[in-house]
Amino acid sequence: MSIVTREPERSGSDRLPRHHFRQDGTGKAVFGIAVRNFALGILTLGIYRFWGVTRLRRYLWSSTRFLDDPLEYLGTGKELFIGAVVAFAVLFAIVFTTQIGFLIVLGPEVEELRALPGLIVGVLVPVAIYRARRYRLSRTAWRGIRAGQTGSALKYAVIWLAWTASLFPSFGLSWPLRAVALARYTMNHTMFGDRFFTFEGKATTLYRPFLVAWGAAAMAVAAFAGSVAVLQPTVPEAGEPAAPGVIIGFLALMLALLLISFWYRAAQMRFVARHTRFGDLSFSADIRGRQLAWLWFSNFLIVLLTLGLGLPYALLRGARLAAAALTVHGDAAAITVAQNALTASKTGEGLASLLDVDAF
Amino acid sequence: MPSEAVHPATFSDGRTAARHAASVTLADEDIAIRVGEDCVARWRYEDLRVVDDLPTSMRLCSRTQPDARLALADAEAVRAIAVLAPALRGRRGRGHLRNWAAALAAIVVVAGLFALVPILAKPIARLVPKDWEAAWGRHNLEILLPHLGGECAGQEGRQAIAALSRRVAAANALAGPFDIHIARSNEINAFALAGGHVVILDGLIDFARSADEVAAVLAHEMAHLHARHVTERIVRDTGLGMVVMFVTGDPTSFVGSTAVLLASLSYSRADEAEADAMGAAMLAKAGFAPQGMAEFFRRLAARGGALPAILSTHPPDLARAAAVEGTTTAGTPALTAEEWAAVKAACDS
Repeated sequence: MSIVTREPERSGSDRLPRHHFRQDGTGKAVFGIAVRNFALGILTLGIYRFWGVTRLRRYLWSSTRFLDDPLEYLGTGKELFIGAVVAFAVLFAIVFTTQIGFLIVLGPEVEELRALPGLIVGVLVPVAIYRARRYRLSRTAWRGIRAGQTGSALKYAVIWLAWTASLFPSFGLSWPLRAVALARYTMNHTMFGDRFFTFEGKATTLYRPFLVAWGAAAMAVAAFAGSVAVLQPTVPEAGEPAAPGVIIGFLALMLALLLISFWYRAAQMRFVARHTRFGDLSFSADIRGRQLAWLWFSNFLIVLLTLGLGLPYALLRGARLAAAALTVHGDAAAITVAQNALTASKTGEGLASLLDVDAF
Repeated sequence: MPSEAVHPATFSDGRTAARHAASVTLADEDIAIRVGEDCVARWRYEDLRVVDDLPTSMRLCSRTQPDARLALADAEAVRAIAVLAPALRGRRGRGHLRNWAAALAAIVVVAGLFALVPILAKPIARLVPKDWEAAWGRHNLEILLPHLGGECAGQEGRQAIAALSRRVAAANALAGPFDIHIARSNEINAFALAGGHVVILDGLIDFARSADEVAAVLAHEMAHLHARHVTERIVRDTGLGMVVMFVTGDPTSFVGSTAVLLASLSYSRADEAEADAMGAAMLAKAGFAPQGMAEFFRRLAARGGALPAILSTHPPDLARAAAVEGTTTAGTPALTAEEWAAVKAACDS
């Protein structure tokens, strides 16, 4: 096994072989799946969606290849269904206890309790995200070897909640620290076979693009506030529309913030890829903000104009972009990885799907 | 037909991620997988399972080695194995029948849930403790009253109505306290809330020509409470909402909410008919003339502008009037002239 010294600029190391993921999925196949899922979903009043999602994932996974072997999706619709039933029962118990139970015990005067289910749901979101990712990884295999994710969803949730709370007093400036903390926990607990990924990024590197984006966003907001002060010095009455200039200015502000966020997101993706390793393998992501922006806007139109039927196709386009952008550096064929002994949890995703935080 | 031909393939053993060039020989009972000179595996035909069936190749594993992967790109080999291996042969056809059966089962289960919830709502409602109902009703009252313009202050009117409700309750041995509220809204309506609360809107009192009509409405609402329709409806609506939310996975889906609305409305029509009959009987037992009900419905129908039957929460008014028609008997007037005037004036402050 060769010992690879880490180079500061990935593109300069021509000694290392490079590999890409190949995404061969066709729009036609995906559209066929979308139509079938829709029809069967209507026919079964929605219950089919677990099997429909599984079918789509199976296609997306198997149409992605690495070193000529396809990824495999080993999940089943039944697992997703049972997970959803369990999650539903848990959520119902929580809502029932807080809404009705407390109401009876403490009386209707305690208005603050109305917010309790919302708070509990908010706390559950990172738990759901972590568990859903674990399920998907444990059901992903390559050449028969399974991926996986260890770690505790609760610990992840604590990190997530603490850092998210820190965004408010810091006006968002703690974002890179948050991103690094989450990436570190997630990546260091992600495994393929019996080997873990490692992430060793430092937030200071990420602050350079972040401060640029933050500054640009602050200027955009200031520009908008200034224009409002000029165009609409008095607050309009209820029912009276604001000055057209203000509305246009607001839309322009939203667009500017969106574009700035895409630019930064691409920088963050490049950062995370650059500092992730798997044994001797390293990664790089060749992704630009404008590619993300184009993907997002075009997918938005596709899904909107097809009334949701185009969602699988939008996901396929995302997978294609990811495969094209990601490069694996190193002699991947020489990596020795053994099967992991993780017992796959049977119910991983129910909570995420009920709280609507699952990706696809 | 088993052949001794050697077919090229690639093989991973599922213990490491390494992939090897291999050759496959089809024997009588099993296939032999060779990497180089060594025979690394023999898989029986009945143990073969398909992992992926792509246009370019077929990937197989065995029940005995579920993590191993054998990839065959040779079309001839794929065909030969498909003939010999039962799991591969019947794969496509069998799946369809099972899917249709599963879809049918799903529809039956969902329809069953929709039918089951209203049936279960009645016994479950009976199990709900009185304190829960009282707390829930108080809570709803506090939310509802401000929307109805608040409660009216006229003391004599309130006391007259309260006395009326006590007489009806006593005559029919109805359990639990009844709290009658008059709210300022101009709509012609009255509600029963859990825990013995009845809210009568000023619009209804204005529309009523005699105290008998108001007494009829009061008795009707008290009948709802006595038969625990209110709690039953809460349990039923919650249950149906949950079923819809789980089945469709989306609490805001349009199809779901309409379905729940239609289901809950049609059951409340039966409840309304029951409350009409019960209310008339309660009035008669208390010694009041039940004509008020028939009169009230006749005039309400004459007003016109009724909603289509299925979308209204109440059965068509004329049908209700007819149903109560045959029960007219003589009786004492519900309130004295003084009390009636006080009730009418309850919201005048």
